[in-house]
Amino acid sequence: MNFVVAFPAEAQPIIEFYQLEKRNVSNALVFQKDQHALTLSGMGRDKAASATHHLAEYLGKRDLGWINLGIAGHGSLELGDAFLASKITDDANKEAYYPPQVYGHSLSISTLHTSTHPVTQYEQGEGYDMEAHAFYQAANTWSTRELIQVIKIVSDNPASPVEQVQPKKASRMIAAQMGKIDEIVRQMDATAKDLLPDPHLENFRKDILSLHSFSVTRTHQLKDLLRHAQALGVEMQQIKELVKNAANAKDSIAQLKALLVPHQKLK
Amino acid sequence: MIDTIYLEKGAEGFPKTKEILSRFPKASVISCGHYKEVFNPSNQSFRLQKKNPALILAQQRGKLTHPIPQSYGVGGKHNFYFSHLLNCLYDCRYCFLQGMYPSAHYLLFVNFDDFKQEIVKTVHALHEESWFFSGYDCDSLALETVTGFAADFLPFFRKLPNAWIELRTKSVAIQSLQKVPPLERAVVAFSLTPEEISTQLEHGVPTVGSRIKAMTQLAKLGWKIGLRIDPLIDCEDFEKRYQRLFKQIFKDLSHDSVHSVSVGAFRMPTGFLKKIEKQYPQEPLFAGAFSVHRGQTSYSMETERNLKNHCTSLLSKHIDSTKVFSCNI
Repeated sequence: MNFVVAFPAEAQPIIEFYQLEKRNVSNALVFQKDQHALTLSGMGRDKAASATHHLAEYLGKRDLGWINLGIAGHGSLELGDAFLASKITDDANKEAYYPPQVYGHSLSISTLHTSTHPVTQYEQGEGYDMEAHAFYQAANTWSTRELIQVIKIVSDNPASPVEQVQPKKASRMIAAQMGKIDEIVRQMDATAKDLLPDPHLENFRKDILSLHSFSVTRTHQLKDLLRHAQALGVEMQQIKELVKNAANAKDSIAQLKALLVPHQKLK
Repeated sequence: MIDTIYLEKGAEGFPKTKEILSRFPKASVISCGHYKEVFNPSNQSFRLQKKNPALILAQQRGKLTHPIPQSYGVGGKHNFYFSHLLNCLYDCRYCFLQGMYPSAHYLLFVNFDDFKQEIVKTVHALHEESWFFSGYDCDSLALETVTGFAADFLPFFRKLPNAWIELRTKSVAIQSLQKVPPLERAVVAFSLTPEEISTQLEHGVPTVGSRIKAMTQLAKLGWKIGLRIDPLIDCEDFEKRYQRLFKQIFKDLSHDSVHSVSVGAFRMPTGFLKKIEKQYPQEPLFAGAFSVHRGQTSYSMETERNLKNHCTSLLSKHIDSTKVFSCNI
């Protein structure tokens, strides 16, 4: 999971929960361990978008999970409550985002409004932050929408306005919700893993490509044929032998096509 | 069943909206300006959304009835489809909806009366019998407990001379039909494939046996039945499996109650198929021996002809060939 977080006090509980370690990355503050990474963006839209792109470029992979996590104001939820954003609007951008609600969880759900300045007038049922919309827009260029979510912990509300927010208290509030947050993180990670190309097939394809000189077109054909072979349950070793013994790339493709024919009727 | 409902502003005042919202008091209701904000954006995964689709309540604007694609009909001269609902409860791997829509959410158009008005206009303009197909972009009955579509539209069609309705389904949710006398100009059409194919490709769909049972119950009540043997899937033991399917169907179903049978081989716009295959790279169906004709991917013309010929020949043992219609590309 990749977390984009505005402030150190918000990041600390996540860093501790996932035991993340600081990495040396130019232009970005990145913490990482195993499949989890976190970047500290700073406050506001531009910084959130920029940090998301930096982390994505550093990781160099598409369709990973992304969460913008931090504190927010809310018109009706209690201090310390965590909510998953169901709709994200912005006072500087007409487009609304609707993160698909495909995961089971025990958080509240709420609409969230990203604003340029801290909000002091709270509307019933509405959350307020300063980064989520820009984060979503940026992450949307790297992952499918189901893998991009926004989770906020209520730090201020009509009874306890934004001026009273303290970093240490924010850290404690987030730390208290990490168990529930992790429920979603696990589901999103499993989903992202499920979307990745099969690493065995990828390695096998590289292996096969090294046996002959494949043009770009034939490389694509080979990719499709290997995928089909796997779907049809054809033994990979049989394919390797066949390509090894083929005269060249063109012959490999022709023989592979012929090999699949008897398997192509549905079982 | 429905955890999340997106409510378009324009759909708020409709009776159907109120009825559905009251049926799902625990669902999270999220308002949106236009359904397209939720349904249309690119970069959504149909496959991931299919795990837990939301319901979108919206108002359909513009033209509400459309001419059917060629060869979709079952003998009528004037044929139209209308889509009160986009997407389906079931998850059939061969279904073109997976490639056509960016989202798997159920999109229900709640302005039922507008659909009815346009159907009336169409019927009056033609002065001849017209057919209206309701299961082109959805299953007509599978979400009946949510939409109340059949319960709402059957009384309307009962009073409309010259208008036929086809309810096309894989569902066994036939209660709203059992409660009322059969309609003279209605066909309840069941899509069927052999059990071995259904198990592999029709995820979440009631078993073939239970569909046949539901169909037979309706036939006994006097409803006209349609059989939609579509898509035909090129498979091992093709003849044996389809022979067994037809025996199973006609064991208790009188051929008199069958209005029509349509037969069509698996076919799909090539662009849709590419999108679907990306989502399900491990699916054996998509590794089949296909060719492309006029932007449609299907079996070779020879294979398609063979599959259809075998099938119609098997059907001829049970039913008059005048009732059998071929769906071509």
